[in-house]
Amino acid sequence: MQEITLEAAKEKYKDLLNNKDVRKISSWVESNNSEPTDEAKLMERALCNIDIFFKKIDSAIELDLQ
Amino acid sequence: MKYHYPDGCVKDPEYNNKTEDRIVSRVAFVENVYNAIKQKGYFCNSHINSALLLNAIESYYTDIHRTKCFHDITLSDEHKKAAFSIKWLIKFRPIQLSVTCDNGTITIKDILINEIFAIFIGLTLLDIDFNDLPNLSDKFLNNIFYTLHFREIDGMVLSTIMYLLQRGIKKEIP
Repeated sequence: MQEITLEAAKEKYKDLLNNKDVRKISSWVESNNSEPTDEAKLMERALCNIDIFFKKIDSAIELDLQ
Repeated sequence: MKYHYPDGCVKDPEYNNKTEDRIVSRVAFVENVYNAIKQKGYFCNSHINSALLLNAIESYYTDIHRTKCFHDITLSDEHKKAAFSIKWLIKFRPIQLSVTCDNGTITIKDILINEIFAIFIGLTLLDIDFNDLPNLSDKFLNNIFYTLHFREIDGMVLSTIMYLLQRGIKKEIP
């Protein structure tokens, strides 16, 4: 088997290396950046919603786990 | 010879210095939420382990940081924040059932205590109105608990589930 040289590989992959569609795999879906997390605001939110959440949990957990 | 870590590398001691305040702030938030839940009369037979909690939050930041680097993300979106928080809280299980707990009275809600807590933290991070939670079917929520308890969790896949969950709560088309 003939080994491909670095120069030959560079030539062979030149078009692919310049192809943005091939190379965008790691950032395919554009992420919606959000604001940095504000824990104080989150805490207020959490405190207001504990009872609502647990009411919902009660009915969901009563179902048999499948 | 001093090794020079690449920019943003999670092994760089400078990275730890930069994120320590954020880690402590998030640990305090999660612990306060747990205490508030307990004060309301839920999770009575349990306590939170500080070492496991710190471990979970530190892993959350490391994991989300490497994800941001790989996917070229400046700030992670709410779905990733929720998903990765859930993932690490489930993995390290910082809420422990008390040794004094009567074995005969343990319920499924005690067994799923970390899953329930993690989902609450996750929902708090999402832009949703908790009053709209009834829009989510019990079946779907039940399936999420099953998945979190018995299956392997991938942060990015869970992030998509968080997106769908949010759209469902808002009664919006995915």
